[in-house]
Amino acid sequence: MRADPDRKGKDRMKREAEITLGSIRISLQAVSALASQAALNSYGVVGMAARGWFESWMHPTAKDPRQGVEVHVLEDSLSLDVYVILEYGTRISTVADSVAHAVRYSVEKAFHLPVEAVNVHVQGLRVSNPD
Amino acid sequence: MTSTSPKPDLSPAAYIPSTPCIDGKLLKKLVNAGLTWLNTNQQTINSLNVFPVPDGDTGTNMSLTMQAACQEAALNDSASAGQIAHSIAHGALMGARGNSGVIFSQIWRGIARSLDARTEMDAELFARALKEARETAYKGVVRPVEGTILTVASDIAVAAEQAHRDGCQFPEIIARVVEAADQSVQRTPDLLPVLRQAGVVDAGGKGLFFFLEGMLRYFEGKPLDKPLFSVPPLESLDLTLAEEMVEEGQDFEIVVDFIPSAPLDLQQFYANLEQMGTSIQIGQGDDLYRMHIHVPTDKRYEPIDFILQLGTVSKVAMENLQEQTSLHHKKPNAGDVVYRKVTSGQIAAVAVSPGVGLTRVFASLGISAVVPGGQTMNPSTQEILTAFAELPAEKIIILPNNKNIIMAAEQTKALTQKQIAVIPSRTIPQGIAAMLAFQNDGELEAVRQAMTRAIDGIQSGELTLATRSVEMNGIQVAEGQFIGLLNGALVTTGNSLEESLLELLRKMGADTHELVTLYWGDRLTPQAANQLTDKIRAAFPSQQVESYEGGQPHYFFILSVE
Repeated sequence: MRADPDRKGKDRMKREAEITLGSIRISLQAVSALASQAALNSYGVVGMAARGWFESWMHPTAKDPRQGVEVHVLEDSLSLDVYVILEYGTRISTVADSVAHAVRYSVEKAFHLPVEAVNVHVQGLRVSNPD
Repeated sequence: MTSTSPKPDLSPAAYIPSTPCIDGKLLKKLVNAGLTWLNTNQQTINSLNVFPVPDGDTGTNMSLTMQAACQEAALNDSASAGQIAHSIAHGALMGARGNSGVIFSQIWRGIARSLDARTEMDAELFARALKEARETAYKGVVRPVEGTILTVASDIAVAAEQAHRDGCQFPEIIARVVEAADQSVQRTPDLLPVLRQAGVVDAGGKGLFFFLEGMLRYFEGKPLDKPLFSVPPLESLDLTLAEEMVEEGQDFEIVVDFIPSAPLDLQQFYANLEQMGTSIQIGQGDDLYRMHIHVPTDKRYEPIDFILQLGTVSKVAMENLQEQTSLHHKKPNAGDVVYRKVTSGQIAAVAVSPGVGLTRVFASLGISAVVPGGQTMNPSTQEILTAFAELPAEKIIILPNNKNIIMAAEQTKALTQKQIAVIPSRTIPQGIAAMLAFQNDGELEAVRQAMTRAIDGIQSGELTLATRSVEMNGIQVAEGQFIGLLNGALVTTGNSLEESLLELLRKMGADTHELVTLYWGDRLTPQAANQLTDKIRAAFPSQQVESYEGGQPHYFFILSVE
């Protein structure tokens, strides 16, 4: 099953869910913090990347890890863009695939919100051992 | 396994006495032995996989990674250990699958760097290579999670260093490393809470252990093609699964708790039990063993008598399985399926679904009501009508998901005030593809067109049993054989479920597509479905394979390829 990622979403909105006693609001920051933890715990990821040319020129690896994640709210699901720096010498496609799986799993598990897409952007490589 | 893979040498080596050095030729044999042992124990590793994502594919991923490494090494005729190590590292990098596969490839990268131009590896170099492997592996992650394969890689490096200082040669140094790996794996639940909660050890770490143990077994001349019997701890013994695997004729379930008077010879114990029945499981607690078996009625006392000779029996439980399964048969519960709420003015989707699992899939895609039914249980027009009559929406989309139900769905148009659009979905995968294009808001006609378009290009497959002998499309089928249907037409037949499944996927052109989705039916246990899924992953390594419980009757598998 693969969903159509082009659905229009209302970006930058808080997720709300009705419960018996009131409502739960989850901020996008909470989602991005969790997503970046999941990404950083993935093997092969050595940092989150800042976005924007100025930011990335000043700090190639993001100081605040939330910077490396964009969350988009779709109708009743989320789509995430994750910006990462990977270790040179690993298989990039496989690592990116694991990042996408880990992020989706942890967000869906913690927030009970379906994640429609996780787009992984490899912004750079860190070379520890050239060979 | 593909036919191009090198045939691992299954014959055990003659016992290799202490040797100072390993050259490229021996290294290749050792790595092949490690791979073979990994393959043999693949299912054990898969069943442990709960971290980081519990998808049960760690063993498969590690096997496929090392298989790529061995293929690359097989092409290199060099006798130099360094050259071979570089080939292995390159192959592992190119074939790396999953987290553990990537870590494994980093380990080999470290080893290759230490061996570099050396033609032979002695104990000192081996210790240095494992140290370098650990360092390379740890560099690949900002926050190393302890209690994983990384911890095991670290512990074996320490053990190798110590063994070298103690003056160990090959294979003693490998024996020490294997022992350290074993202990390290046993400690993983103490370091990683998610493992402790699940009552398992780390899958990737266990995989590394099996790989190393395979090398040692080669040295010792032990066989590599049969897994050892191991006894899981009592708390991880899952007998509910065994309950679902009841076979014809195995009418009684016997569970015996006992304390053996002498250490149990597991090999012999299993062999004796296999004479009596099926679904044998054994668990171990403090001193206590628990044995579980399914036996036919006339043999129901045999396992008890047998175990009485071995020690003290503390508890015997016997249950009539036929009775049990009939009670259990209302098992599929639709209680936890949440349908999409619609309001007046919106469009509601209604799908015909033959099983609870498929209903759940449809619900997750946004249907508002379901009509139970499918092959051999076509719902009537009235049943379809009732399903959506109470919905507040005036615009309804119906997914018949079977060619024999399309007519009944069309006939609802004349019997209701609501606006109806029927999507001509002839199979479940077509219905699911159509649902991906579904929207609650918008013009009914526009949504209908988008959903109808989504059906094109979907290859639907179904695997079932032939109910009578017939010849169709030039294919002879005997009653009771497995048959595979591609978009409703018979394309393959066979006597083995696995072979028929793979053949059907080949006929569907799975190797030229990206995604294979399986929905397994109620005739399969989750375990059997997982095993077959692994087989598919191995046969189609470049495709993504997703597996869901469909719960449909008659069809072992409903498949889609896109």
